[in-house]
Amino acid sequence: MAFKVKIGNKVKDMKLDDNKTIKNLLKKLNVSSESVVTKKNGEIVIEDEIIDDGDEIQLIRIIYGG
Amino acid sequence: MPTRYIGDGYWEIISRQMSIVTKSQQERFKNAEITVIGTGGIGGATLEMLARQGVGKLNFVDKDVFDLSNLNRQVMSNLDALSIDKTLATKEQLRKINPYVKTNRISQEVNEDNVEEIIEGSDILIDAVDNLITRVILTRAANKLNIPYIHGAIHGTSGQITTFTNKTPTYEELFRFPSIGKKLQDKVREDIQKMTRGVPPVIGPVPNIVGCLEAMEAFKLITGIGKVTYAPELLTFDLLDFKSFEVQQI
Repeated sequence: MAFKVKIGNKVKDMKLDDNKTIKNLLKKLNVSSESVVTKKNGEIVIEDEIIDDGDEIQLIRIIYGG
Repeated sequence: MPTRYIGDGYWEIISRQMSIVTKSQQERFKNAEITVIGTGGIGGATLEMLARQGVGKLNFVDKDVFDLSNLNRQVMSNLDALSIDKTLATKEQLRKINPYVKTNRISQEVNEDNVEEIIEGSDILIDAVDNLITRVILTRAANKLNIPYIHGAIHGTSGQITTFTNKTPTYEELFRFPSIGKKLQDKVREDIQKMTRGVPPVIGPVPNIVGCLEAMEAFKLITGIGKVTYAPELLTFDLLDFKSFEVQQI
């Protein structure tokens, strides 16, 4: 199973062998779920969302510097 | 320069922008009052631009003094301003840039108790702060008092900007804050703090670009020219790649 992950303007192809959830993806990327808004195929989703083959996941980082 | 502006200081300063706005549009900006929270990386740039654009009155708030680590980005800082109250140094800089702008400096931290008093009467509130909790406090107060809130933030080489009003999703809604609809008690503040990871890196051009963009959005809002980007749309960019400039819908 392969899907695309967009972080900022970088897009990369990724695979998850088991537990194909957003939560597991974030864990693999070492990103805390609180620090991003996650979209799947353009729709905002929660951590328990299942990732399917061909999905496009976008992680929008919540930034706070000034 | 159109000769009709020579000799009238205010109008001579802004004369080069008078083919971009009409005199009545500029008059609106001349009568506008804008409050900027933070006078650092983003705030210094937005204040300077607002003054150069000929805003009527600026209120600006900061509790800190300038230090050496500010010099890589904060345009109101310089060697002479080290250890000086940021609002004091900023006020003096603004006076030298455009003496026709009325300035009101507030040297304290914005909190839930003083925020409404600070921003009341402002036509626009501009976010130039460095943390999420203050942003939540600002956006709630702006929403309550029906003041457009121009948000900007940076991280490393990335920046973002959008504007919130009573007709848009709120800041907390847009970024899915755990604090939506809750009082800012300790537990809620802890939950917001979990969204952050330490002090973000920053390099000079990034906050200054955000600050300049905020000043232009304020100019557009007041004068009515152009198209303001409102939430849920958000301009994002990463200066490591100019192709990254994008208005995206969250």
